[in-house]
Amino acid sequence: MYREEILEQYRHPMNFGALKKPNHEAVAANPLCGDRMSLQLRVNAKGIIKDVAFEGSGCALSIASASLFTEWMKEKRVKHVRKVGEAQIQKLIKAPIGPARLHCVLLPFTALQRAFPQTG
Amino acid sequence: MKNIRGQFPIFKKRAKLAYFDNAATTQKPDVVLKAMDIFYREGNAPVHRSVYAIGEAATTSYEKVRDQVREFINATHREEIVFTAGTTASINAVVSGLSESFKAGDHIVLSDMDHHAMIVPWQAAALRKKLNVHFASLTPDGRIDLPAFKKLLTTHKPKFVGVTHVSNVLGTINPVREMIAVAHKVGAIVLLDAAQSAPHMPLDARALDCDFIVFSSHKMYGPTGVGVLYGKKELLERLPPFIFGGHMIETVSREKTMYAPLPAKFEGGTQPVAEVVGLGAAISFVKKIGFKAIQKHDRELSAYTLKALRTVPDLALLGPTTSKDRIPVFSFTIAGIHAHDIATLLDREGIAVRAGHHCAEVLHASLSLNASVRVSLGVYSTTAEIDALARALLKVQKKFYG
Repeated sequence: MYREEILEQYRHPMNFGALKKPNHEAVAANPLCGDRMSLQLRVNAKGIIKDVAFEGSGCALSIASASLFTEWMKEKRVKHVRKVGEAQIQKLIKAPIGPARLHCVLLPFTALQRAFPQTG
Repeated sequence: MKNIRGQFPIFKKRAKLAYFDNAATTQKPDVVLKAMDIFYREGNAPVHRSVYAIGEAATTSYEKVRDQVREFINATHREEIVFTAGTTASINAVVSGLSESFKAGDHIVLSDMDHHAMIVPWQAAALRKKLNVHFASLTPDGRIDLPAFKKLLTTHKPKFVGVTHVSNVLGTINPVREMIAVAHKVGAIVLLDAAQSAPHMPLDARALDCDFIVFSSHKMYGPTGVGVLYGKKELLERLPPFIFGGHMIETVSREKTMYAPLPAKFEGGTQPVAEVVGLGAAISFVKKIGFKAIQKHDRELSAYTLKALRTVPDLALLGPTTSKDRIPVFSFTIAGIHAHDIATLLDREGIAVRAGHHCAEVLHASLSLNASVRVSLGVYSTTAEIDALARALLKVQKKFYG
């Protein structure tokens, strides 16, 4: 799971930082280590994610996961992202993640769920 | 320390396992497993009040371990030894019992290096009873700041002081005899958390003059699910019980219950007899090796590990950097690599370490950290394993730094 692509995402994550005018945001904490990740999104009236950014300190798996996941969700419907997000992250990581580290890769998804608690 | 490793079946099954999570739980030697197995196969029965032969035999075995524990920690009376589910249960029993008589505004002194098992019960009690909880700070090299600790005591005159014998993160051995004495001077009741020290050094309840001493079986080569609460007789007699039910009573009527005398008062419900028997075997195992040999092994391994960790660039050790007054527990961070990534990659090399806050978030916060990697050694740990650790850490760095 620590292949070069993942490490590269960790070293240079996409969408890392803050948005100027987010209209949705949430923070999720990893109970394993207390790491926190914040997620900011700009969603239009049709429910489509126009921009997204994340911030926080974390392990390579959580940062790489957030990088790939945020990039993937752009221009997609919140409803769809929320529905398939968990499976999609596992697809993006392209490696089996044991139960001990699942929290880490799912951290950006947990934040997304918190940002849209009303969406199913 | 020869032929120790061979006494642990897990290393026969997993010959290459470098098990470095002994501060969380140790592996179990043959003698412990066999004692429990024989109990279940040949002598299983409930203890106390059984009038048949195997019930009486089980009671004898169970009570014999109480005598063993009394001797192990040099307590005065056998009824000062109470079996609990473990250190956490022991502390909860003490906090629940003591806090009943504490009044709003009373002070409690703990320290930044305490385990959550010490901190959380008091925080919960503080909410209920409006108590003030204070934390003694640490020196930059990870030791209790004694002047600050003393000042907290003289300023607040606490009713209770919690003392951690050995830090589960830093490995620091605290000057507990002095800490207990100064706490007594201001009239506090003192509890010593000996969970980490029990497998590494002799405990002497009488010499320490501590009011309560608590520790777990499973961190000293015994089974999970059982631990010890030692309390001075007069204190245990005054302390209200924590678990109510069978066996802890003298008489029960519709109107009221008279509690049983010590130690039964604190041993409500069916006791984990096999586990207590296992604890007895674990104490015998530790005593057979002897603390003199264990401490020599600890000192040598500590010096070796500190030297090995120094060969890893950008590795920052938490707490003391020498082998003086420490057990072989080492927590560290490596610049730019998260503790959990290190732990996962070490696991692939067959090295089992812990990553996270190790139930000591207050300590980590005081060091401005979220997580660290912890390597904690046991009687079966070897220098070859430490060499493998150092090599694996360099490999992790190579992978991450590219």
